[in-house]
Amino acid sequence: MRRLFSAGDLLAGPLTRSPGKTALLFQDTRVTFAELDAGARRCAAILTGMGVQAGDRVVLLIPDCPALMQAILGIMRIGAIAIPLNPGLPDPDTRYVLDDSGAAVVVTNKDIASLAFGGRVLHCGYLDFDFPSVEGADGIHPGSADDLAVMLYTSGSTGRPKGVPHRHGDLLAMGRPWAPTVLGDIVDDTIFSTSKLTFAYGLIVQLMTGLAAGATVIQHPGAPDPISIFDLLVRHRPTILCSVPTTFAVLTRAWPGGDVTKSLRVCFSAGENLPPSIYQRWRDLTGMEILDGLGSTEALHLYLSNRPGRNRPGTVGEPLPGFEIRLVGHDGLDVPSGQEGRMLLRGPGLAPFYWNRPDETAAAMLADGWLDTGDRCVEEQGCYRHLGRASDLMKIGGLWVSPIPVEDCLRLHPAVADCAVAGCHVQGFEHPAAFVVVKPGTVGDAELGGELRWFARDRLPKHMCPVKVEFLAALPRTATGKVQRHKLRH
Amino acid sequence: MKVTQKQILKLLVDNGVDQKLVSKLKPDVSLTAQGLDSVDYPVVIVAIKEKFGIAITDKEAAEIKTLQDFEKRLNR
Repeated sequence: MRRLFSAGDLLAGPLTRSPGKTALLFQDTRVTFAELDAGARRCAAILTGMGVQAGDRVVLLIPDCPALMQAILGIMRIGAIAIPLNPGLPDPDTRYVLDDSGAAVVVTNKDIASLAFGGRVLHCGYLDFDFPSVEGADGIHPGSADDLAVMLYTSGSTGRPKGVPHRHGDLLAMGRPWAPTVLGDIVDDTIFSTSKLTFAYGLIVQLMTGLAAGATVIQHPGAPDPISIFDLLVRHRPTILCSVPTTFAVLTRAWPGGDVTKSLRVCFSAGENLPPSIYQRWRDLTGMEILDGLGSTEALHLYLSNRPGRNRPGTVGEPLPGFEIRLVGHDGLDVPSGQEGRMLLRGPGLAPFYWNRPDETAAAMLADGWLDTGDRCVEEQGCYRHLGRASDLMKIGGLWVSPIPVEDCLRLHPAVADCAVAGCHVQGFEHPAAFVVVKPGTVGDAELGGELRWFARDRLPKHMCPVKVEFLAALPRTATGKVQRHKLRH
Repeated sequence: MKVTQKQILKLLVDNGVDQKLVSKLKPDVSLTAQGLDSVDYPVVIVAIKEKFGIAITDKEAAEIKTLQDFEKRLNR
């Protein structure tokens, strides 16, 4: 088979082998690989007709649907750069991305007059574009694997989103380490990712892993609410479910009973630490493990993962083939096994830079191809535990304290639905403060706060115990569901 | 409303300070000398703010050494 250099040609294999096979399941519609490819070519032709050229940035404000998948592939075919963006973002954030990226065109299925975008707009439906009579473009732009193909804006856990570009070569390399190692042969699988195409996790699972291998992918345009998810699980009977800890937690709380997950052979989690309590509840309800892994927008893909048969709950598993990992101390030297350190990563497909952020590029994209992930981990017997973002650590009595073990402890209390721990300052010193969402029917009051402090004192070293407990209706989260602990700090 | 030493002692226990330690506290002896440590102190400062609405400044906290000092400050 010819060597691919363009991610716009990602479906070449399935198109050759099984063009009539279902690629996408979207509501009541089935889209075959041939139809998906035809839609991508049509989109490419339309954009070319609008004057879009190689290197132009094209922002996509479309929920997960066949048109979005066609647009991503079509844009990559002509050498432009696809920027899938959450269509539900507040206008100021969308305007920021449009400005920062220098977008030439917005492709959308909604009215965007409020954005006051001065560039060209292409409207589409969920299934296709508004120019059905346009014939598809045949060619692939004759660029190279080093040309930029997509740019994802990382929600991050702090500050303004950053544009993280990836090259064609990055996308072509990415399906390979994870799927064969963790999922096995997926050509006959039906995959449901609750993570959307606007995020690296969703993009990898749906397109670079699922469709590229010839699997069938379920698309859900709406929010990942439990009713919709359970409906899709029963209607389409996927064999692989990829989701995030927050959604797994919501599903266990809204569990309908019955055999909703009977078709699944793999449940995978990424995007945030998977609390042991959530893992165990899921296992009790479904009989299935959740395999946890770790990736990032900068890496595009997962680089650490548990595997079936070697799953160690509470960890993010072992490095995936092709990736090198180092844990370093404050002095930049490697720490020994069993000691926590800041994680550096090297491997295929890492982002070459942050868009328009030379200082942050210099800080994270280090010499010799190493990426400073900003994560703190500890490695024991080849397996890694994620201890949180370096920026979420608290310095308590001279000791670095991760919020995660404190949160895991509090979640064991029967009154706690969810919680986050962040630093607060009392008398000039930093101490852990707990922010708790109680279960329905529970009152979050001073008495419960005291009970939770005692609960932590019985289980954790004293310096890790929260000095205060505040009750919230909900925790502040990014669009991907990551807790924004920096917003709780004071 | 007057805050009593008994209320302050209950506050300590309710907020995670060891009950045995609290039961033995002498009102006119330094709390640190009697076992309240650097983690107990901030718990108490925060609990006082939550329960009585009284914000103890850093300067005041540095000068509050005994149970009697706390009682005096809270009833100022």
